[in-house]
Amino acid sequence: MELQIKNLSKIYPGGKKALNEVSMTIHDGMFGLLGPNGAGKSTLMKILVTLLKPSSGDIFVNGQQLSDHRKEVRSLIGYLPQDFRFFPKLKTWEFLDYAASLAGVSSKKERSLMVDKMLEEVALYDFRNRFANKLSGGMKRRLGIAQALIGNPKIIVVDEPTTGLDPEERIRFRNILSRLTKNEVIVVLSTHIVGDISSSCNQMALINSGELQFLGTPSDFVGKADGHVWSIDVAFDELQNVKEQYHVITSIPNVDSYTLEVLTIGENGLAKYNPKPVAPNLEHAYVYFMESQNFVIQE
Amino acid sequence: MPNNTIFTIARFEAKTLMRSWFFRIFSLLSILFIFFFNLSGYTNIWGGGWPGRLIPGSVPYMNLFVLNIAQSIIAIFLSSDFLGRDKKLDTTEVFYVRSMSNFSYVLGKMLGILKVFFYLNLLVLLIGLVFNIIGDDIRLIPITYLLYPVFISLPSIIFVLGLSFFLMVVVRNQAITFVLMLGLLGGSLFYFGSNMGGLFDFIAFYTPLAYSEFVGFVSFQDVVFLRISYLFIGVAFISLTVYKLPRLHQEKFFKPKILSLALVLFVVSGFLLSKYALNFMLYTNMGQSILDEEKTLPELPTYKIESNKLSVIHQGQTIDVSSDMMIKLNIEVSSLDFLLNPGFKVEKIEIDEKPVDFKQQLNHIYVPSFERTSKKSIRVLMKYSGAPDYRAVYAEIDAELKASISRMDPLVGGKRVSFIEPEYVLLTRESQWYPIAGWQQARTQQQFTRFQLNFDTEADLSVYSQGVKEVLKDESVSFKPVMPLNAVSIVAGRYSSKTVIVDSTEISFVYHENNGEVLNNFDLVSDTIGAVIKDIKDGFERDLGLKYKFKHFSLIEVPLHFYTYSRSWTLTTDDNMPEMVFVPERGAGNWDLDLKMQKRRMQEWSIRRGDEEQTPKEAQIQLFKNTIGNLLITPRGRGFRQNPGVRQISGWSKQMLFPQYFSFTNGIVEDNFPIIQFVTENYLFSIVQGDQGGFGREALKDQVITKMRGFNLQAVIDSMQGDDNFADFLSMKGNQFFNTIKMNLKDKELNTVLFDLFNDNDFRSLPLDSFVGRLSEIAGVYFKQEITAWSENTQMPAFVFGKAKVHQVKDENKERYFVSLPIANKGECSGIVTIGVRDQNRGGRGGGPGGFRGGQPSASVEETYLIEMNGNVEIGLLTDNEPRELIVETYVAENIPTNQRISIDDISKEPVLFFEGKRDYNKEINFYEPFEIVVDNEDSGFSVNNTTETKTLKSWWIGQNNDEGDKYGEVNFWNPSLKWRSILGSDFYGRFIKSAYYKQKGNGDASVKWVGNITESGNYTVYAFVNSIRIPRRQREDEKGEYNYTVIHDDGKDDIKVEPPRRGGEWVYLGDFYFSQGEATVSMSDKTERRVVVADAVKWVKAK
Repeated sequence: MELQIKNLSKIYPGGKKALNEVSMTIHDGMFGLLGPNGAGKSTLMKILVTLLKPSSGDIFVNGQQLSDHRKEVRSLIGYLPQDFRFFPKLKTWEFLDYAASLAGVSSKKERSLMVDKMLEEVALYDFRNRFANKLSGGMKRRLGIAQALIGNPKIIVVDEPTTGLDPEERIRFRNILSRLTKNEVIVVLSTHIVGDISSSCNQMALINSGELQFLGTPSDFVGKADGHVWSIDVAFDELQNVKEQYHVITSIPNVDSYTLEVLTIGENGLAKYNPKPVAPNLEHAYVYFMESQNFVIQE
Repeated sequence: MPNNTIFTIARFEAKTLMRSWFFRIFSLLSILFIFFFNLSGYTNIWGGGWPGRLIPGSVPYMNLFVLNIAQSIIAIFLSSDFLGRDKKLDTTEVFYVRSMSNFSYVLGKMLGILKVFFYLNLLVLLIGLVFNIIGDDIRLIPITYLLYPVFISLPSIIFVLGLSFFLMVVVRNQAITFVLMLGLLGGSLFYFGSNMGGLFDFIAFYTPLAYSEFVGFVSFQDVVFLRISYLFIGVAFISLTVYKLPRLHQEKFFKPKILSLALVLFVVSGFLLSKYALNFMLYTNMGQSILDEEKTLPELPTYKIESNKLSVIHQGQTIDVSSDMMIKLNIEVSSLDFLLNPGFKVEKIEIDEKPVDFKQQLNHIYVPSFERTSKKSIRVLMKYSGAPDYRAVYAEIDAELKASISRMDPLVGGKRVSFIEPEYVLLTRESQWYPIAGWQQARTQQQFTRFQLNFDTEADLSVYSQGVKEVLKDESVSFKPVMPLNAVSIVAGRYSSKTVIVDSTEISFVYHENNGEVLNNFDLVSDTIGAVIKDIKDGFERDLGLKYKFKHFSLIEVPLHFYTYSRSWTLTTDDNMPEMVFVPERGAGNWDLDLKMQKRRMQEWSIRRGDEEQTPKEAQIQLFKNTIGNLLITPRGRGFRQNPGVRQISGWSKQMLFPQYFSFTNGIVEDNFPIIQFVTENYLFSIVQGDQGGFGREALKDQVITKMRGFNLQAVIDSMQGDDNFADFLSMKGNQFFNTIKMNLKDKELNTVLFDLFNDNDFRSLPLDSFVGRLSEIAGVYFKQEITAWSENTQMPAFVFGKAKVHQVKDENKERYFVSLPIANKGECSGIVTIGVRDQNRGGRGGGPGGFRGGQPSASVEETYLIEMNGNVEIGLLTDNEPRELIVETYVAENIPTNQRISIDDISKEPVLFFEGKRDYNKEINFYEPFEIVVDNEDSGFSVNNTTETKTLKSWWIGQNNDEGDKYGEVNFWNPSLKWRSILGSDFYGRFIKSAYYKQKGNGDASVKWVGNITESGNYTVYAFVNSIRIPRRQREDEKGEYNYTVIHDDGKDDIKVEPPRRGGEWVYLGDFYFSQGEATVSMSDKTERRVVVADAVKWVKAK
């Protein structure tokens, strides 16, 4: 599968520019879409799943233009929106059955097997006869992903799927998605939780203010922050001074000082604190990226 | 697979809806209501019985009729809910990303809702089917179980769903959509109603859908057009919903395609609706065009059709007719005018076997010229074919009335004035299916013609018409009436009949071949039914004084859609044809024709009266007598107008037998509107009508006098034929006319004279001069001038009545009562007064089911007197029983009400010189003495003050309802007027108009004021004429409470409380006061403990 986005822009009727000339190509596997709230991630995803029409630009799915082949593309899509609830009058299994039917699974028997399997996969089998409005928050999210996955979609778009989930649920969720990527499936995962991407995505993009800031692998992204993350020890009375000059990522109090992880952009100037280089992770890279944007703007 | 998607969405939508509590509760309530209605209406469980059950197919019709209102409300809610629900829960998006078209999505949703309603309808129909099967007298018509859901439910639901969907996607607010849709439903039901033939009726509440076993659904095409229109509009709105759906479409050219579909559907339904509306409007145009065309006809008949041999070939929905007429020319003419329904196309006309040119303009067939010979008679052969155009029938009847629905409590039947169907034919005089002589009054005065009818049909039908029936060799049927007739009709259908011979007259009941079970109600009396009929017939003829002159009589069941209108020139409608009376199929929801219920009611009354138990045979005879009596002899009085614009005549029904004795046997030829014929018919009818009494009767006559005051008869005829009160006015004038003649006949009985006259002139129309001449000859008075004066006079007599006195006297050793009543005529012409004495034994309201044999004579003695202009007379009457009150009828006079009661206070035993009749009275009869100053509510010195403040919605609503247009209202016992309202009544004070004002009790803010002009200063005694209106209350004790009067006099003002008399009105003393010359005022407030307050008159009496 290949998802090609070309010069995609979206301007809402009120004049708000949600996306600006975004171009990227997404291949099989999990694709993480990172960005702060309001960056344009949800707009991009809604355009991807044919809920919104772009103001300009095109999307091609396996070379087919999306705007001309909505019918075909929709048959490939599974979607979990950010804020998703259910018909309260449908039971858990009925909802999945409904989703499977709409996904084109016409055989009742096949659908039944598929629903049961999916319910087991998201650990809801025991709650199959429970009305959707009686499920807990985590169960509802699981049911949400189940309805997106049912019918073997080739493009799965999940928008902020882990928000509000406890760590165990998040891990379970990531694992479900990771398993799918073995089957030539594109999973587009939008999140502002960095850990979701670092643990599962092989491609990623960073969007901020409607602009594509980064596109590549998570390791490339992390590499951008190489040489910019330091560990220093500072006395209590110097902490405030350091915070004002540098972006402090973590601060661990010691007996007579703080051990800080700081991010430097441009000139180092940390020599007097005897800095030790730290190998960056995705979170460091994300902060570095966002801060460097601010730095550029300030410059 | 798009179909799978649609059905998937439908399946889950239905599942969701089925689990909606709103749907469940509302549906359950509807089902329960329908179930209990079925239980009470179709079974004997609660002893109920809805007469509409007898209408074929009424069970599914009624059930869906009720359900449709409920399900429309549910559909509005559900459809406005579905998009809202999706939006609210943000669930839509996961479905919107699925591969399906917007059309599939909306269609699936709609099918889901439809599926739910399908089950609901199915359940309701199944409930009905069970009752249909177990009900012993309910006809099961399988096709109706299929067609009613298609005609009633489907278009309504689709329309409601479509429009609600559309409003929801446009307005995007569930509450507003819900309110808008409910408003539309309310508007359709209560505002538009049956206007424009029910054009705006999307829930088929006013659509004629009653089924007939004779002809099935009538106006089928109109109904189909109307319902399909709503169906299409619904689908068009659904298409627009798809168009407006906030989801990106996934097909090429989708938007233009869906818009085109909506457009095409709107155009098609618009076309169908406008065709329907146009049809309605053509009523008006066609009717008026025909009236205009008839004005071009000769003013008087130029010829008479002596005989007419009609050969009719029935072919599907048309007939081919050959009319072979012998015509006697009255005057030298070279042209001929005929009238024939414009639905028939005249193919040729031959005169004396030579074809002639002719023109056909609407119902006017005109032969401009023909070759005259010296013969006075010519033979005219006219050949035509087609079917009557119903729009041309009843041309002068108001189009709105014609388009109004025929409601059958509460089902709706179509109105058809004639039928030519493959399996049924019904043609009566009004449909002008045979040619008649064309002149301006041709429809009001039908000529007597010797008819002969041949009827041939390919269908296997039983045929009925007038005269002796003969089946010819070619299997056609011939009818030869033995006497000339002024109307001829054909009825042909799948009939069976039962015949008995009574007094050498063949009397038949002709019924649809499936309806034979009605005879089971009389299975024990088949041997005696002839004697029972003879008994009824003899009784009726004895009362009327005329004999039945035909050799056949048939009571014929006709399709329930057959509809006739009463006319302003006759009491006869087309439900009566010579020798036949038409009765609607299976009673058509008429309570009187529901024999099962009649039987039960009879038993209940019998138990209540404590009658001895009847044998089954006696009970059947009683049932037969009651049914026939109520239907044909003395119909039950109706307390309200069932159809607007229809003249209400007490003791009259369309099926009444009376026209068989006069309207089809005699006639009077008049040059213009048939006034004398009409008043004669009314007079004869009043002989058998009996006194029905009751509310409304007086009010109607008073209304007529108030309205027609200042008009003479000719002016009324010329300008007010369309008025509701027109016939009532003629009828009142007629009573005056015949009572005037009655007085002049002296030793001869008017009725005997009339009967002799009519018996001598059977089956021919008597020229007016002959009629008047004969009456004049007997009376010794030349009536022609009287008639002229009677018809041209605009003046009215005005009677003043003195105090009625009663003396107990001895008349030839017999205790009797002498009643004397002084009367003066202060009007501008002489007039007549009928005085009746009601004694202790008469005049009460009869018990029992009423109707036939319910009427009682209202007075023991009743006499009519002529009171000359300025006459001052005393009337003397003798009666055997103690009188209770006098009933005075003043006919067309200034006096209102025309029918007054004069109470008798006490009976004197003082010796008196008694007399019978009229004599001069030497005392002046005045309203008041010279020393009295009287101000009545009709005088200029009287004024009312209403509080205009409306405090609550309820009082505003009541106030709206009380705001009637007529000058005099009626007391509304249940909801008294909030404003001062003038009313009429015998007990009120008044010179000629006995009226007062009344209103609901108030807090004293509203008041009335009497201002008298004191001409001479001095001491005066002040009286008020105080009245009470007895409000029927549950508790029997009399109402208590006082009226509050205030007298303003020279020494200040005095408040006086007065307790009104228990019944009637009387002068009550308010006090003695000093008044200076000038205005003196008495007022009364609306404050009282009673329910209403009544203001009438006040007088100041100068102290002697």
